[in-house]
Amino acid sequence: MEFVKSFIQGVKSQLAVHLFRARVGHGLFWVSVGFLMLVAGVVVSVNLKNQWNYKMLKPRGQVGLNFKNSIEMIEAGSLVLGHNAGVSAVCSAVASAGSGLLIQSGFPVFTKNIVFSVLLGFLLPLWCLTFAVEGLGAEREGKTLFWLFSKPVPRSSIYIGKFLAILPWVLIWSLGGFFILAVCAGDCGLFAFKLFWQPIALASVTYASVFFFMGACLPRASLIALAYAFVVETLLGSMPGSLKQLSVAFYARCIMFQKSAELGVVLEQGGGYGDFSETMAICFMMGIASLFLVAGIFFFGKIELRGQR
Amino acid sequence: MMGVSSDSARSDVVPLWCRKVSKWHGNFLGLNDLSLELRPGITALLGSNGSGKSTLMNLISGQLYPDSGSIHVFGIDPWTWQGKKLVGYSPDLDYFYHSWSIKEFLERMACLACIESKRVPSLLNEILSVVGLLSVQTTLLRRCSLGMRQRAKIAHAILMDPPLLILDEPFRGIDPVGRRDLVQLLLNFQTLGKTILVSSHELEEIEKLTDQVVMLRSGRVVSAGPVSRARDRLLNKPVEIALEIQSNERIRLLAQSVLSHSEVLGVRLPEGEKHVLMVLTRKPEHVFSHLVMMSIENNFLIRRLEVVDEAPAEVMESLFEG
Repeated sequence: MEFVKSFIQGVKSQLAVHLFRARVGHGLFWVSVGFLMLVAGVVVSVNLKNQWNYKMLKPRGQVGLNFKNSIEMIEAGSLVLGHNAGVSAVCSAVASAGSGLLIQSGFPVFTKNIVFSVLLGFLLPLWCLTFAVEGLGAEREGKTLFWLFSKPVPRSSIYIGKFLAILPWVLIWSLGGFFILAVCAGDCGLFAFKLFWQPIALASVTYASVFFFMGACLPRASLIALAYAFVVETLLGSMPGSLKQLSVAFYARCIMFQKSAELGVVLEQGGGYGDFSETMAICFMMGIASLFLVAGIFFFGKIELRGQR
Repeated sequence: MMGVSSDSARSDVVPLWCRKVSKWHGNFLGLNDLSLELRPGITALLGSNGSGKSTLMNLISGQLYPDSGSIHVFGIDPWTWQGKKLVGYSPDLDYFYHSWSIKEFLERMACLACIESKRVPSLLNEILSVVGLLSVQTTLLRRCSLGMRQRAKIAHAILMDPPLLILDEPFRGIDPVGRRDLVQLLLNFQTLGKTILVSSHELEEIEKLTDQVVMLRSGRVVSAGPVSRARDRLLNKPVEIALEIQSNERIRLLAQSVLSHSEVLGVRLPEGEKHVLMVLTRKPEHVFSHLVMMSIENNFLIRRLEVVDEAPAEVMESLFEG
């Protein structure tokens, strides 16, 4: 009981001291900003040239369905399907028509090229490691861990408290970055954001747990985290076959694949993303996040400050 | 006041109880089967660089875990979070959150130590005034002098009002007035019944603080007792005299003659220095006159005759030689 009380106090005190004090001026932060601006620039450029296939959705100056209408049709169709055979048939037809429009819209193009490939495979790991590695990694590198370890609270509370303190930054940065890209892409981007913000948030939490562990327990954590991001998430994550299942991005893609499939849009054929249900993918990601949190607590609890002098 | 208790049951009543503690740093044995027991009051920890002082202090403060043996602070393992309540540690490191001011640093440390927020302002005022940082509390740590940062570390150590204080080189970088104040501060803590372990190379300050010293050498306690014993050993330590003559031809003959003096402990010919003979003695004043007389009798022309200066670390090392 005394441990629990002390643990809660430890987490609270870490949050009180570190919650709104993330370091934003370091090199990785500016690298993240730079890549966000670069990709946003590309998205804006594509959007300005009208290359998300908007013309196919609603020709300029003509009466007909626009992108938003098609989504509403699909949602309305989905709601009533199965209630009445006649109505269902009509709605099913309407939904199919909507899906057809959606397939021809910029949504799959934006999702495949920007969200699936660039965001999940490259930008998101980079954005997450920017804050997550710094959480305890900066204390290790700055040799200030002593000030935390000399306090009468369990080490696990320091670890969890610090993790919770960086988590809002990770989520704000990753969802904020996704939102900026979505805004730059226009309607199809905003639709993708509305549809996919949850898997992106979940992937961010999982990445945060992995990178936070690296920062807390490994020397030269930034380099190791960068290597992991590019080798495992970017390279392995885009490989054919089952190797991609080693990456966190794979499970986020599975959820996105299911969500798109519900709307009749198949984002990538033969990618294996349909093999995992949405629930399974969520469980896998939460499992990875929990595993790294537990491992981090264990190894962080054993750290001795022999190299702090 | 110090010694080693054979009864491990005593570990829960004495402030500090170390039993057969060893600690490896890779292939280097930092502490070697060390046993120690401290009672309330001030004890100085002396030893040359690498003797194991900081390793011992890091173990007592729970920053390191012993590879073998056990350490108890009032019966509690200092590695545990409960043990951290009992130990205030001022380390010999100079790593801070440099963008914070002294006051912010102590406020946040108080928060991390779970000190009730209502108590913090008055507590900080009291502590800052005790360590002499009240007027400079808003100074950023990166702009503080070494002495100010030392005081900030001491303020941090006493933040939780622990019964055991571990101070690693607290006088380093502090000016003479500050040293006097710090000595007085530690003496005040002593009167409050606290147990204080201080490591320092400053024998003068240590003598003002306490009569009790623990000497470490190669990770072992070589002596524990009054500081006067250490001083006597310092006064009786051998010194080397460098004797340079004009010609190298008869230097071996000179060495034999010098060795015949009863106060000479040994001679050696240093590498790379021709015409020089190093003479080891505990009484240089006696040997000086003997060398002068001998040079006149044997017609040696002396170019140089001096006691070789020793670095403070070497002087300290001589204290710990068997």
